[in-house]
Amino acid sequence: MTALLELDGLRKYFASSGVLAVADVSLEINAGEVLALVGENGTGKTTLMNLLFGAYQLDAGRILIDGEEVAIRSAQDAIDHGIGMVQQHFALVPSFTVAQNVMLGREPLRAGAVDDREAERVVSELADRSGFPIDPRKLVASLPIGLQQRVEILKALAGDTRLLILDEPTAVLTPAEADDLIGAVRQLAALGTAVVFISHKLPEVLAVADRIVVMRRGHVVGTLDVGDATPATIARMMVGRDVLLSADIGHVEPGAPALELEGVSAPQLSAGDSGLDDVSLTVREGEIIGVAGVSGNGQGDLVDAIAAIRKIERGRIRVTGTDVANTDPRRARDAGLAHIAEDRMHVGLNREATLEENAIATAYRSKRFNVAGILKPRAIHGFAARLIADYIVRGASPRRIIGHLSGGNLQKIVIGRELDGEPAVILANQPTRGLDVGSIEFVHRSLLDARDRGAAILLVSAELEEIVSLSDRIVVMYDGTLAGPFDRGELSNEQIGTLMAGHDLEAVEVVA
Amino acid sequence: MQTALHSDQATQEVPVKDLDVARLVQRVSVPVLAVIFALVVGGFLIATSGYSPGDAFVTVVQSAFSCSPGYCNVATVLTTAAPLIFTTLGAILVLSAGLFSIGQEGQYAVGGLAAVVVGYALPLPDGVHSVVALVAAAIGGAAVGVIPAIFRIFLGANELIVSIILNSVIMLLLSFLVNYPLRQAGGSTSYTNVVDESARLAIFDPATKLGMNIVIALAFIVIVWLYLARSTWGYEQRMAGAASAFARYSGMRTRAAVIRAAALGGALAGIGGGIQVIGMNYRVIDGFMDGTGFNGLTAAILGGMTVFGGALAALLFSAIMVGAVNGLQIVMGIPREIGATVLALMIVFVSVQTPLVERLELWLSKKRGAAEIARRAAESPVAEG
Repeated sequence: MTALLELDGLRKYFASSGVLAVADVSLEINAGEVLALVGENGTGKTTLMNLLFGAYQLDAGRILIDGEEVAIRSAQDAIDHGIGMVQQHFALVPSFTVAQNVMLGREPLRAGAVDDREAERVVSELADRSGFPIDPRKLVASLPIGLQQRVEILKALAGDTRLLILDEPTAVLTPAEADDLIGAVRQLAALGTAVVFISHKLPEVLAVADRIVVMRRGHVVGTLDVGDATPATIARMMVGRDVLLSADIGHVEPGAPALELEGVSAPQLSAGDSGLDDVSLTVREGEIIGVAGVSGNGQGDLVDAIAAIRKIERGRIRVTGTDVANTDPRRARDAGLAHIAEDRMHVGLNREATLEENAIATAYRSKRFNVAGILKPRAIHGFAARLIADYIVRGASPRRIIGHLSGGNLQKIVIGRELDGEPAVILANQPTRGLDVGSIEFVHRSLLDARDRGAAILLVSAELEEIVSLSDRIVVMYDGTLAGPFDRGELSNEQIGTLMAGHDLEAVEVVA
Repeated sequence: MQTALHSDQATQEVPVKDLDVARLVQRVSVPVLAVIFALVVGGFLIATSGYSPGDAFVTVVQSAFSCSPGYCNVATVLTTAAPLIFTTLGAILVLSAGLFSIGQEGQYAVGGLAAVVVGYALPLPDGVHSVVALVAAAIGGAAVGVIPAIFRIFLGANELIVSIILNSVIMLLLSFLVNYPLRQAGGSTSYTNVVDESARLAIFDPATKLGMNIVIALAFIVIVWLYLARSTWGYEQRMAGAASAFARYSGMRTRAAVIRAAALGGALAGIGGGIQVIGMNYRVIDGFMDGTGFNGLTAAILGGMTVFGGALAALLFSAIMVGAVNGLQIVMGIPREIGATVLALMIVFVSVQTPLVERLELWLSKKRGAAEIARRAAESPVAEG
């Protein structure tokens, strides 16, 4: 049987960054098969799929569909060959309905005008047929992320799509939405569509895939049938060494309180978060307190309030004794706060600036980097070079713009900068989101090292595993309030889950 | 410990060079190509008016760069460039803070007014007088410059529109002042008193007024470059301009940085007006707002928002203007507006650079990719995993 799609010796070299992103990749995929493409950040997974989807041009190799070589020069070529792709970042028109978005560019016409009724019918039928039910009349702006993604998938399936590429589809989803997606992908495959599922979350890869292709540094390093794969074998292939998946974090005797919150209340600012309601918490030197919770229950507001990025209504926030509430980030940082921002692309870094400029962003005012307002180029260069070396920032150079670096490497710059100078308090908000196994382990090690030397760390993460494995104590956030703290091991994952869902705290404590 | 974690991979690292040659070539080649294209189209325009573009080109170049014992055109170009360099630097400073204020024309005018009043009304000794006049010009320009920034930051008003309106207001104000309160006593035309000898800048060449004006302008090119590239204030305003959420998160006071940039940018444009007054004209006339501010903005954009690029563009602008006036108009009788058209065309060509550069990049990367793959294949067969 001829494979639906065969890639033969694909290569792609980026002259601007000098990176051979895809080095001789060959693989094939059959109709009705889910192929998971896994690998660390910057290994070329997305580049490979963009070659297939016509976003980049091949430097060498052949793409065969049904055994025939095809040339894919644009996304339109790809679509004409039955390939659909859902990118990491959505490209939807918020003010259009679901049907209008899905049918964008191929609207059914009646008497020369767009026939919305017909579009809705087509989309609703497509949605039912492919297992992604949705109301085609809803405005996209009103949909939660999970459903917006569904619209993207339907858009990719509209037309005669035989191969669907999903690039990190679960990165933006809640665990429940991710489970739904996995079910729907399986169903789609059962109907004969081939699916390429890019991810680096190993459990979901095992749940969704028939075969797993592991990439490292532009090469395919192995292909596994899902029956032969375990998280450990995949992780080992991805990084080329054994990975500690559940860390033994040791224990440090906590010292004096370094971060203190007393009765902090703040109104909800954006639609995405819930505000803060009488939050009190103390983080001591040498401990990691993990904040568990479903995203949008006030974690963002909590972090922004402590970092003095947003205002609060009542209460006190002290960083090493200084009240920083309602000041500004400079005060908070001067008091000893480091902040690993959730959004490294727009907040944590300036991607239009050089690595040097990013590296000194929080310390440029110190004597180390300036004399009387004049920057010290040599000191700055030295610091940036050391950061690159210590944190193995691949493809980076001190005086180059960092825009082209991959997510994991960008995060290394943030971590290197924030952990420099031994901050007393570290706010780590989703520090490993979107990173691969190797980078995650690196970030975890860095945080544990900081704790061991006495830093007080508040770790916010949507990944419960991360919270449970790294935290000395845990608090659970629901609708702007905190439950806990609980000691490490005091609660089972199920109990934390109950708290995360906002169920009766007393009932849970009785069980505990 | 952290290093050990990745040491197995570190051994494979190839160091990345600091200098991104491809990027540099790209950034330089685009404005250069824009200039060449604009000149070609300008030549075409001249040809359609019935003149030889070759002759016209030679005439422009000769008129801009020729030097005879009696009158040196290069000196005229430099004298013209001095105030223009200041408005260019002012535009670069404020734009690089992310504030799209195009009020350089008004700042230039207020700077000129401040300098002329100080220049004739204050009895000050030699040397001190011109410095005080320029300081007054800087303060005047800065005062105008911060207005759009304050409107933007505290009221959310669009700084572009505010600065455009300010330009109009100042133009009317200048006309009023020059015609009434500041009009030269007993003068029949609308211009102010002339500044005292003590306030005038030293002149090397009386025919063209070349003197300290260009020296000061050149010095400020270096000063502004140092400010932007090497000072904490310059760093803050560049970060605030490119990524304001990042700047604030990092602990920078972004509002202060933007207001400071607006004030300093205004001050520079104001000094431009001051230099014009105490270095060349010695008085302010009704037509003082002659586009030096707008041309500065244009030169800033043509120069890719870089200090040296902008300064070069300002010099080029001056050469074309001088060449078009002295050469095309006086020698050949071609309207000087052709020169202005060529300047405008340069901006058009620069603004279409993005799609062109993307094409170029695609083509280059394809070519290099093929070469790189051939090289690697020749060196060693890929063996990993």
